[in-house]
Amino acid sequence: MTVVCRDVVCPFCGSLCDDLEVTLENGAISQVKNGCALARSKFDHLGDIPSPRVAGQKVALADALKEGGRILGSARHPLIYGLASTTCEAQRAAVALAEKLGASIDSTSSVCHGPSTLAKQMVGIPTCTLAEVKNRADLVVFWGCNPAEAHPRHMNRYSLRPEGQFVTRGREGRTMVAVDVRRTATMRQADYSLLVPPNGDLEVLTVLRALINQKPVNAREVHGIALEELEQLVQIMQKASYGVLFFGMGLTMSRGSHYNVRQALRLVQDLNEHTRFTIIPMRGHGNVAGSEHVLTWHTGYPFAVNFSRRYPRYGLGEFTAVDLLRRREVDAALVVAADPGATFPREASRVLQEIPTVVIDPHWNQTAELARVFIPTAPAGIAASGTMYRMDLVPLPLRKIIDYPWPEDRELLESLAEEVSACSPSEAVASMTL
Amino acid sequence: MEEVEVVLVTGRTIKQGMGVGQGKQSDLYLQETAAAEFNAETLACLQVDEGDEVLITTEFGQDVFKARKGDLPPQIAFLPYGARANTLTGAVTEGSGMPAFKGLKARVRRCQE
Repeated sequence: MTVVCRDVVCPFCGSLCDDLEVTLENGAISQVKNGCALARSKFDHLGDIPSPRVAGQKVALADALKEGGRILGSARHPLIYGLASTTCEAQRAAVALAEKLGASIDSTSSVCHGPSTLAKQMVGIPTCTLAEVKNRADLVVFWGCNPAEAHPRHMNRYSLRPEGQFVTRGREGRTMVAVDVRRTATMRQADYSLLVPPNGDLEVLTVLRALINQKPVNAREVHGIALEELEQLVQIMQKASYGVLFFGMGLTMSRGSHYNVRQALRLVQDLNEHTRFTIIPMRGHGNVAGSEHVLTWHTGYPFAVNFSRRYPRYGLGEFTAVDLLRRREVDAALVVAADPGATFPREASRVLQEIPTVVIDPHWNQTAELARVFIPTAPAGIAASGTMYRMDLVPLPLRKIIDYPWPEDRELLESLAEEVSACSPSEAVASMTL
Repeated sequence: MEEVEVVLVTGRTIKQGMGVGQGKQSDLYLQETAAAEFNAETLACLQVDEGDEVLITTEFGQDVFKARKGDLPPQIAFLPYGARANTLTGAVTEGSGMPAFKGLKARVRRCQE
C-alpha cells in the first residue's frame, strides 16, 4: 500500500523544514521530496535497526533497561547529557530522571550555542522569527556560519531567496554579507564578504561597534582588514531597512566565545539606533533550542544544571559535560540523542569508557562504542511524535510516520526512572522543579 | 621534510552531515572525517598532493589525515567535525563549558612513505 505523508517536518537541523513529502510503501520510506541532502540521508537510512546491548552482547530490551537503571541508581554523581535530537517530551522526562538521581544534566548546547545563551543572559537579544526575516529582511548577514552546508535549505526557504511580503523580488531584493575565516560555500554567494583571521572576531566586532557609535578608532587596520572595509560594512548595515545577523560556531567555538557573541548582540542593539536589525543563532541540531527551553521551564536554567543538593544549580565550567568528564567528577553517564564520543575532545570523551555509560540512540554511534549499555530507540520526529523548537524558537509538532520496533526516548527514560526506583526505593524525594 | 605551522578550524561539511545521517560507521562519514583541507600554497610547502597523508600535531594529540585542497587562506587547516579532529582539540573550557574547537595552533608534516 502506498501512503504519501505531506508537510512532514525534518528533525535533522535547527531549520526544521516542515514541507517534506514522504512516500511510504508498505510502511517503509520509499521516497523523500523537498528535503535537502541531509534530510534525505536521514530518512533514507533508517533500515539499520540496532539491538539493545550490555557489554557488547545483544540482550533483551528489558535487560538493557534494568542494567541501565542499576548503573544510574548506584552512581554517586551521574551525568545526563545530550537531548539535542529528541523531543521536548523526552527532554522533560530526562529532567525528571536527573532530579530523581541527583544528577548533573547538560545538553549539546554547552558545546554549540551555550556561549550564545550566556551572552543573551548578559545583554539580551533583539531577535525575530524566520517568517519575519522572509517577509522583511533586505540585508542578511551570515557571520561564522555556513548554512550552504550546515542548513542547506535555510537560504532558499527563510533568509535569502524567498519572496516575502515586503521583499517581493526574493534574492534580488536582498543584500547578502558573509563573514568567516575561510571562503565557504555560503561566502561564495555573498554580495559582500569579509575574511577574518581565526580568533579575530572580537576585535572586528568591537571596531564595527565603535564606527557605528562614532567613536574614534586609532588604527588603519584590524587583523589585516583595512578600516575602509569595515566602514563600508557599517554603511551597508546602516542603510538596510531591515537587517538580520545569523551567527554560528565561528563565534562560539573561537577564542572569546561568549564575549564574541555578546559583542555581536551589542552590535545589533547599536544598529537599532539607526535602522531595524535582529539577530538569530544558527542552531545546529533539530531540537537543541528546545532543550534550553525545557530545562529552563523546569529548573530555571538552560543547561549545565546540577541536582546533587536536590534543588537545581547552574554552573558553566562546573556542571558542563566536558568539564565534568575532564575532571572525572562523574561516576556514570547517560547519553541521550547525542554522540559525545565523536563531538567531544578525546580527553573528555575517553572518560565515557572509564565509567559505566548508558546510551539511548536510534543509531549505533561512536559513544555506543564506549558504552556499557546501548538502548536503541525510535527516531524522534519520524517514528515518534513530539514537539521540537526551530532555531527562531517557534515550536513545531512532529508526527510519527513509520512504525519502529523500539519505544521512543520519552518512554525509555520513564522506564529507566522506574528501574532506578526499583534499585533504590527509599530514595524517593519530593520534586523541587516546576 | 618541511613542517608547517597552521591554525586549525573544525566545522561542518555537507558530506560530514550526510555521513551523520547515513551512520557513523558509513564509509562517507569515516572518509570525510579523516580529511584535512589546506590551500594550494600550504600543500606545496608540505610537498604533498591531494590524497596524501599528513600528520597533524597539537599540544593535545596527533592523528593522520588525508590532505585535500580547499579555498582557504594560507596557514589555516580545516577539519570536518568528528572523532579524529577531536584527537587534536583540548578539553579545557576556561569556565565556559566550551572547548576551543576553532583557532588551535598545530604543526603539519607529510607522513613518511
